[in-house]
Amino acid sequence: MTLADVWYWILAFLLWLYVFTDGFDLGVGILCLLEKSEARHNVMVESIEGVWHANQTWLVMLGGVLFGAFPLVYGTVLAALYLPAGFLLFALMARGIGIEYRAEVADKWFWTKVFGWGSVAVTVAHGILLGGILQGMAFDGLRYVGGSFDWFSPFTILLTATLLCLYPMFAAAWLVFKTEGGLQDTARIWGLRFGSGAVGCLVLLVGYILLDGHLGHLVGRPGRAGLSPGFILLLVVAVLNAALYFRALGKGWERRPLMYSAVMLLFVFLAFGTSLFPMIVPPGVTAESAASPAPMLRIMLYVIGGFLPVVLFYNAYQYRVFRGKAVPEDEV
Amino acid sequence: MDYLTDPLLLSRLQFALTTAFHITFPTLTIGLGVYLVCLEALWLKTRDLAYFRQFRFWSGLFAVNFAVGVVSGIPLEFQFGANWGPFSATVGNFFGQILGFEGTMAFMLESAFLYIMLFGWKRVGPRMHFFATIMVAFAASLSAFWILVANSWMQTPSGGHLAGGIFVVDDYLAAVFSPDLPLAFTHMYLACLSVSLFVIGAVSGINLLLGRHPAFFLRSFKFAAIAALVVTPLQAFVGDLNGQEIGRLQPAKVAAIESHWDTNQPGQGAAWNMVAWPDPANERNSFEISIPYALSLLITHSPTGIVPGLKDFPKEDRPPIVLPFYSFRLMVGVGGMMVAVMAWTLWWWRRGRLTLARASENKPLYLAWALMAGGAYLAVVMGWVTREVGRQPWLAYGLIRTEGGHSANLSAGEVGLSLVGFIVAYTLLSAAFLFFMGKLLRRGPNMDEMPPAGHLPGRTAG
Repeated sequence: MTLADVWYWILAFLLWLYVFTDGFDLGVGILCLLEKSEARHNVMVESIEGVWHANQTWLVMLGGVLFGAFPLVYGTVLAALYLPAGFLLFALMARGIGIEYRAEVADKWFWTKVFGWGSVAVTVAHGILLGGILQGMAFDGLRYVGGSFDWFSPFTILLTATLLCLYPMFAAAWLVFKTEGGLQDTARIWGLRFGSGAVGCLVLLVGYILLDGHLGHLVGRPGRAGLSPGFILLLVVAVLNAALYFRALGKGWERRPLMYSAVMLLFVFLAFGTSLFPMIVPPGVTAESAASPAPMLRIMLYVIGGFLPVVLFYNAYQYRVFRGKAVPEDEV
Repeated sequence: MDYLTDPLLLSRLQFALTTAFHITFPTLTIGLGVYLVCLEALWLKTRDLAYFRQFRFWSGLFAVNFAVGVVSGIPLEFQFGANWGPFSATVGNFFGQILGFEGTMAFMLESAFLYIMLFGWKRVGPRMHFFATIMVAFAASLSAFWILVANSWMQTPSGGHLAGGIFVVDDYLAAVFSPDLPLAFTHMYLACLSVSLFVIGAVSGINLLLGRHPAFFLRSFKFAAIAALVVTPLQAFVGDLNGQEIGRLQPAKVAAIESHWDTNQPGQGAAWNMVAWPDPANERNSFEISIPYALSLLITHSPTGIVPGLKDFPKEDRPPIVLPFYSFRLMVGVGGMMVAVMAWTLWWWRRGRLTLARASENKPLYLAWALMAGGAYLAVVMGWVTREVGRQPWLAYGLIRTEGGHSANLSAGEVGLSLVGFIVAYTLLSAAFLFFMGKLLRRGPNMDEMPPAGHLPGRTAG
């Protein structure tokens, strides 16, 4: 395994961490739009108050790592996906300001909507960006030769729909873990609905990849029909975890739905990640060809690789500090 | 209106605008973070509730400010990839790595401990809480360090060379500690402290002027005044050192800042243009008021020191002149006024006017502080305008030209759309920020607030 490969997997790990953790707090935002009671909004927002910011910071780290380890990807992909990337930034602003300023006002209706719709917008931007990259980008060597709207395709729409179900699915699991009483019961129902939606979308997505014929690189069969055995195996494990998620919800367990949804996402990532590897931007750009020189990757591995466990440790500590059920107006 | 159809110019405008907006927020969090550490240390040492309430009030300001700082800061990192793709691709292995370090070491640390500092009083003990506050302040300063490492490298790129379209690092430490870094970081760090001290002093002064919580705000006003008495003159001194250093490292920048066209002859001093209007087409100033020998004195500390003029540099390597010329003078002017306000404060303090009994009599002084708080922000932005416009026409000085680093696939429509988006978003952000800041300030400190049980010493709690 070369250093570029190591960084490919670190990047994948950070992406998984970001999609799961920010996913559940974005999902909380989306679920706020489905909930009318302001008292419940308060508990829902309170449950993520202490952690959403750190969750979002994984994106900043992801950006920094991509920039440093794969500068050629960073400098081409973001320019090629200029409009959706810009949209993501505006959406992140709306979400962040919505949640921060919601806490400061008495009449919370407006800022709750900003938070909720901001979360939807961030999710849509994620779908477009991920979809735009995964479906393949028109590169001549390392120069982007496609158009400004190449990202618009049935595949990105399907992927966006998947995320719009997946994030509330995580959020429902999070709320089951962090709340009690009526809200927890509602969260279980959300979990069942959005969980079914997410699994359904995922199946449609794989079905679409099979039908389309140009997306074989996502399922381990570049340029050919069908699915690779490895992909099928990993996807089955993911779906199995989804089943465990539903069972845990049904049994009234509080921690396990969250755990199973994280593991499910992990296997979805592994299924697509191992299929793509060593491509970092399909169809033509490999991790190796876009990576920084080896000595720089090594320095970065010592520094960021050394810090990552520390970062994970104090993140875990932070979750510990804010453990327990969320109760509103938990000031001081 | 050619400039509206030039994606390069629009991208530059967008970066300038977003950075200028963003920089004002971390500037305050960096200094305010240090202040919070001092307050909590005093609280833990003295167990005087006044310090606890100070901490709570100013940490509220910190939170609102931090929120806008974060949301306005994320776009900066992404613009490097989106608008400055070729630049990012060329230097990313070093430059991107440094930004990665900032995210990993500093930003994450701040995000994680901020919420323990703000909302963790009931959940952690006094020691852990103090540790969280220290981590927040430390992380904010560390962020500034890494950002300045990246920016100073753009000013004086060192430690490597260009080969095959990428920057190859030969000497890693030389690249991190580029010649511009030590003074630039010191100058910016002191600027952060000055801004914060003048904001603390101004908020306190306005409250004293209105007669609200005089004991509370006289305490914070005095703290700000004592600290600013040290920081403000020190900043003037460092600023002067920085000027000399830039004269050595980026002579074309100094020539542009001073609108200085002709190198002075040996034995003669270069004159300093107090006011000037440059006429680049004819390589002269169409109007100038100057002080003989002053420029040589300023830049070389010798009345006849040689200061290269703009004509020594090829036309295509000269930075714009008007903007750095006037932004520099605004910055220095504000700095001078700050020193004057400090002298005034010291004078009135020594005459015994900063006591509780006479706190309401110092209206002009408080107003001057309020004015200087705005001035401090202006000085920071003007300083950066001088620094970055003076760096032109280079992205990395002498290494990569600005036009060569711009993403070629972008159209003016795309960049224009995002630019308008940023203008609208940042206007709304400012409005929301000012609204909430105003709310917080009107509400004032909570003078009845008690720390949670675990944070009270036994005798007080019992």
